[in-house]
Amino acid sequence: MGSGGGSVRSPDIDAVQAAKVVERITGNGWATDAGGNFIYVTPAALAFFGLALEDLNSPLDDNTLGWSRVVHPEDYEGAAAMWQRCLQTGEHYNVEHRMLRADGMWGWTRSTGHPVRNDDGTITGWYGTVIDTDTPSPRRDRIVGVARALNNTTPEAFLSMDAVHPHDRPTVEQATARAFFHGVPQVSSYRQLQADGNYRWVEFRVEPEYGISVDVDPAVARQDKRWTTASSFGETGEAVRAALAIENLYGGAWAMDASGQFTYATPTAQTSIAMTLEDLNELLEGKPFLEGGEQGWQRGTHPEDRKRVGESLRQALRTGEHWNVEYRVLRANGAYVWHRAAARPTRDSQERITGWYGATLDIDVYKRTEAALRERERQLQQLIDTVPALIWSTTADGTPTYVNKPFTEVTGATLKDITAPDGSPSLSVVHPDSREVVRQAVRHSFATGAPYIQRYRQRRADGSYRWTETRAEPLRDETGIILQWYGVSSDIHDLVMAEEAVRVSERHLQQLVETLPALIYCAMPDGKPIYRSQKLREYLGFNLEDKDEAGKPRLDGTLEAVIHPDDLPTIKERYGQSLSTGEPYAQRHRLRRFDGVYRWVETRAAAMRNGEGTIVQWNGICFDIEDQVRAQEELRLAQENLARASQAASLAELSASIAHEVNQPLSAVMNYSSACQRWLNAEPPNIERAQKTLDRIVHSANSAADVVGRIRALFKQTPAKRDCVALGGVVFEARDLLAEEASRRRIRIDVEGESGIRLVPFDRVQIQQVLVNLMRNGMDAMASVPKDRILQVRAHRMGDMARIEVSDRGRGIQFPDKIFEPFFTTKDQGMGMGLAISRSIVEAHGGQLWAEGNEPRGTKFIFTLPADGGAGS
Amino acid sequence: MSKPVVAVVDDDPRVLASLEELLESAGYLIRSFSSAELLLARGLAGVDVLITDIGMPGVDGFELRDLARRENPQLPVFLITGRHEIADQDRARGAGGFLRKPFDGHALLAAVRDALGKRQD
Repeated sequence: MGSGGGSVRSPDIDAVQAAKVVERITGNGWATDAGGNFIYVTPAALAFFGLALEDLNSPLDDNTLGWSRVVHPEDYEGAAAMWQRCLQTGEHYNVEHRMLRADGMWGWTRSTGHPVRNDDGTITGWYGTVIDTDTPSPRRDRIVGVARALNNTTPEAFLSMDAVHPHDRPTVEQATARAFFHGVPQVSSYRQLQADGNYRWVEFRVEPEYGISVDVDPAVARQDKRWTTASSFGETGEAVRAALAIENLYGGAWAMDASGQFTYATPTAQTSIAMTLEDLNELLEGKPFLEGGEQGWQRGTHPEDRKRVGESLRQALRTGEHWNVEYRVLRANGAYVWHRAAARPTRDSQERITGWYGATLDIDVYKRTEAALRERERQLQQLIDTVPALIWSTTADGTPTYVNKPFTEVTGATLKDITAPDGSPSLSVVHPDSREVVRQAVRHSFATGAPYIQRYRQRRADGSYRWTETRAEPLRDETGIILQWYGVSSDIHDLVMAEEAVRVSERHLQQLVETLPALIYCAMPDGKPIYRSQKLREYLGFNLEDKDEAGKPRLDGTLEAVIHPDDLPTIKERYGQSLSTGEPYAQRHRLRRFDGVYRWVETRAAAMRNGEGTIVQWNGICFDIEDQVRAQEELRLAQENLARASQAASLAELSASIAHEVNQPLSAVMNYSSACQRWLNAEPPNIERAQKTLDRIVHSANSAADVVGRIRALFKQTPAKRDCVALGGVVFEARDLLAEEASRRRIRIDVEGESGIRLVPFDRVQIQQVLVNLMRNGMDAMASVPKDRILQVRAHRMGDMARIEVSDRGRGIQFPDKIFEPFFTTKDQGMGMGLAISRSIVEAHGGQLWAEGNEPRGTKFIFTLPADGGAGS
Repeated sequence: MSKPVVAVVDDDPRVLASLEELLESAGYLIRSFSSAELLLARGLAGVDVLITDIGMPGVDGFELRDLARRENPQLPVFLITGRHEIADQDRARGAGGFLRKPFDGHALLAAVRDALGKRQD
């Protein structure tokens, strides 16, 4: 046993022994002499590189050290410089450099080396090891794992990251990393993918294995001889040496004998727990440790861990199994800190255990980190399960590995349901119509690593389908290798339905616009046409751009192409006014059809404004009103004809009325006259009755005079209505009025005369009546003429009077002077009032009416009317 | 022998009064009516000759003639009118007598006398 105070003199071990101890921990080790020449390297490592020990020591041609063969050229200079310095100063050698690995790639490694000194402190050699420092990745060829299910089924299965729950992978990776770095086998637990698609918690142990080396155990097994026992430490000399070797590398180590009594502990470690070797070894219950007693070191363990730790060590001591345990150690400051202890036995040539060496590493940070990670993972899990999104993940090649709770709740599908027997996504939640497309997209993404985005109908738990957008992105490691895919499905059903509704509505409106029996267009606020309905395009026979000309607004080009030239100025003005003021536009005009025919249309346009009231567009509609306009025109003509017919009839009607009015008192006068005669002729004459009858004659005659007076009064009330129309128009109207009658009576009417003769304001209706009367008289006069039935009407100017002649080719008149007297008639019909009334009308207008003989035959009636302006004067 | 009775219908009171005067001067008994309806209400019994205007509101002269003839086919009827176009109508033809206003009073009286004489023959 060493001296008190916990400090012991360094045992005299050589570098090769130290290297071999390290080798048992890390899998490889090396030793050099004081000058840096390799005297030992783990044989397996040399075999891997295909090198002999001498190769490492013989300089190359370029004067570099032999081991430059296995170090990355870029890192060699720095490593070699450090090595040279350490050899001179005795500093720890600690360099990171890239080294050739089993897969032929360069991998980052850490080389550490420590000098071995003799009693004088002179360096007698160096030992060290090389460990991988590459960030652990789940590449299965770099990990040998032993998974042991909690129910203690047979382990011995390669640890595949595919079987590890995605959320547990960091834990497994970290454990693997620790195993690499510390050489301490790691025990942890994770959720393991079962054949049925579910996960089950399993415990696992991971042992270090280095890329450049083979298994640890064969390397250890190949050691050629056992270490000798150091006298000062009893049988545990070898264990102490091993502990010292570890201590140099890791800062702390210890050694104990086969019964569990500490023979060495790193002094600083003793300080940190405030225990000397004696304290550690004290038998608390007076009973040897192996027999179940407690030892002093157990006072420094957490009460909850105390029995367990003791029991596990006791078990190891009894069986020789490697000891690995985690427990809380009481620090000098009173705090309990998580540690992991590991120990291995040393044996003599008879395989008898001679002692134990081990290290107790502070894993508190790891523990806390692990706890924090678990908490974070729990929160993440909670988050993933509560976000209203369907989240899933797959392996790099697409095998589903996880679905969150909402996914199963919403779709009713479990991880198993969405996994096909061959491991590919079954797409069972995708609507059958979309499945093939989705399958192609999925395959494409898994093959190329391109992000995946698809919209499809996704099945719900109740069997219905809702539109869903699914996006997935690959998670890559820093070398770009895809580790897994994360996906999220969002319900966009309402959005899609709304979009669809909008599309349907748009289509409906479009159809509405296109099928309305009207011509529809839209224009920019400045009037530039931007849309025409199909019917308008068909009507015009061209579309928007067809009338575009360089340097000319489309509006102008369009208007000039489609608007009747007579309507164009008005349209341009009115449309321009609407565009500038925003007033609604409505105009009737002729619109050119594709075949060149102009048809009447009514165009209406109104401004469409935005929320601020700014005009954003003009919408216009064009109705074809050709038929309507035609119908109106025909109606107007019909009404005009009707008015003319009634005008034509009025003279005859008037004559008849006058005749009746005059006849009544006249009849009375005649009856009384006859009666009077009879009274006078009676025997004896009845003078009294005759007298009375004469009174009645006078009375009745006065009645007749009253009638005449009323008629005169009728014609005096003319000045009310005076027109200024051209005389020609009146003449043609009169001709039109009688045209039908003339053709029926096989009479030709010739009208000739100067155009533009204007009269002083006159009563158009009365003058027309005069004309109609004279013309009808002329036609009557030719009733019995067998041929040459020609009625001629001439109008011309004579001085300041207009002269109108109506000539017939009848038999002429016998009494030119009498014909104008009232009731003079040469006809069977008529009262003989026409010419009298005509003359009074003409005279009332300041003109004259008379008759002359016509050449070669017939009569010519001539009347004059004062002309306006007097071009002749 | 009693005086013959002549019924006169005319809606114009002036004409009606002058016809009464004329027929009275010739020694006839006169029943004058301002409308056909009034005559029909009074009845044609005892009427020897009927003189009626044609253009009247309500029952016109033609209708009155037809109604009277239905009752008494032999009754002499004289139609008078101030509107010559009516006199030209087809239905005016075949009447016992037709006079256009104004007519000669003596001619009417002669015609009435003839009609009464023929009937008595």
